[in-house]
Amino acid sequence: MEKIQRFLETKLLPAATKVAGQRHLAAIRDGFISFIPFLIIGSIFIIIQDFPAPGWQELQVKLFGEFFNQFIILPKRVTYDIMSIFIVAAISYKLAQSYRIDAFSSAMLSISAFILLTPITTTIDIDGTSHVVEKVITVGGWYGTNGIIVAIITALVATEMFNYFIKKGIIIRMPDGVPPAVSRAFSALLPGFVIIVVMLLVRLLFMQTPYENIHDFIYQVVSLPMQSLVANNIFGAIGTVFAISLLWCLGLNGGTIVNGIMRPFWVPLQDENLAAIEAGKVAPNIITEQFFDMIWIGGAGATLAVVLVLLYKSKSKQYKELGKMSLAPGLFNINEPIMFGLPVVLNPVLMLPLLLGPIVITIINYSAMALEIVARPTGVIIPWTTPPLIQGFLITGHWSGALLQLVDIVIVMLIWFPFIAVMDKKKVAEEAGVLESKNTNGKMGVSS
Amino acid sequence: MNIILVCFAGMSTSMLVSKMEKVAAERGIIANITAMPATEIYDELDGADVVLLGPQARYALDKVKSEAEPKGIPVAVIDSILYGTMNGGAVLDMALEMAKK
Repeated sequence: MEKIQRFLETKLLPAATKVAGQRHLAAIRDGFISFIPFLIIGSIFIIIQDFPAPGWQELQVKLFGEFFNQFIILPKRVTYDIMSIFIVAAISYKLAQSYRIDAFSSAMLSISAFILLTPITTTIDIDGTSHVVEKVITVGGWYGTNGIIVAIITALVATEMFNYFIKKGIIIRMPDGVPPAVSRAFSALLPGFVIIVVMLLVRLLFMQTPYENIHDFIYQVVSLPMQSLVANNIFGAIGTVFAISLLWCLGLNGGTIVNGIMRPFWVPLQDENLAAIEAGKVAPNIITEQFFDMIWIGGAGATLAVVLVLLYKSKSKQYKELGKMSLAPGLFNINEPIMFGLPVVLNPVLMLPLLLGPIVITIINYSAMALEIVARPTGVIIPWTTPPLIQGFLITGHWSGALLQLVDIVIVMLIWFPFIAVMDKKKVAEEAGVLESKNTNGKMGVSS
Repeated sequence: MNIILVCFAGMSTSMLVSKMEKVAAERGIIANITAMPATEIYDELDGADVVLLGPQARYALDKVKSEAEPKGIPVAVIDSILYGTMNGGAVLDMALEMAKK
């Protein structure tokens, strides 16, 4: 046990800390996080459009007219469906900020660079023949979730170039006395010009290939294989929950770190589900970010079950108190009190149930959704702090999602029960021991 | 005295903030304690006397240090057990101690 603990503290923890703190990974993660509120706003309108109540679709038409369906979904169109433009700007902004260079100019340049690499034509179908329409930025497609990987790469490359120019001082300098805002805008001129020219050349380069643009290339070579081999299958799902739980065993916020890496591959899957639901079909993908939100009942490691075991079964004062204190935050999927207070962190014994619980319910949830016993995530994004059961209902748009979470809680409780029972017994003895020694001390005091 | 607590979303630290505020009020210490996500730290550091990280946000320590230390603001990670038990008094003591130096 001690060996494991030493390995965790001296080998795994420093390595994980280093990866998590890496500048570019942090920029990608923070960029995405800053955009999530917009996705939640978009999701609210998807939920309004597709609210899981029988007859709602017909009622919408009756109350507001035929156009309402496409009208109420507009907030989704301006968030999800052009998210690559936001993402390229957000990541560039965060990276530039970490270099302490002009983040606003960097973000603006990155948007231009991204659009320069992206098709600005689209084909539409009129009476069976397809026509090419020029000079359009499409809502959806490469500008939506499919362009995310290119958006990330563009943001990193353009911002690195920008930083190089600024740090090397290869900029146009204004004489003293020119207002700082003006001189800042001019300092972006030269690096901006070079970035734009480079992107233009990249576009030209890809025009010579059968892919015709960088998006198609990245999509075929990176996104699709990553999606099918790593993200969208049960092994990927188990790997993901294992990695997140393991990082939490080290006391690091595993969800933030792992989701930050996986999110670009999950988002297109989510979008496919949304499109299917909109078309009245069954959602094709089980794995989305929300699949994992449903696993983390009460926080990473699915620890609401632990809180319940503590509350109902523990006799030790300390554990009972911890259970009481952890219940309210646990209902909103916040579990630091359990992680650091029990503690689970750097505790080789409790590592076992912390890793096992989520893996078991991942297998159960995946199977239940694969067999279509339980509805799949619709692709809507709700805040991760939404209380369990309500969360399962809203994510899947079906009561079976709530029921599944209830079953999961019971299973995780069963896994933790023996561990807590042993710890509790020990703690009760400890507490009694402390009390006894106090009493005897007291008596001695009186008699002397 | 301005104390900033940093975690991933500023949520679990906000629980600790209310505990610390209570202790501070009891002791008659005037302290302005804020919880903040690690991503927003850039703009908010000015005027802080002490920055404390939740143990789960330890990965951001180098980043926060590189921002705060040039400004002379001490940075530290909160002890896991104190954090888990939401021991507001002990964390407040820690912050006061750091600010003195």
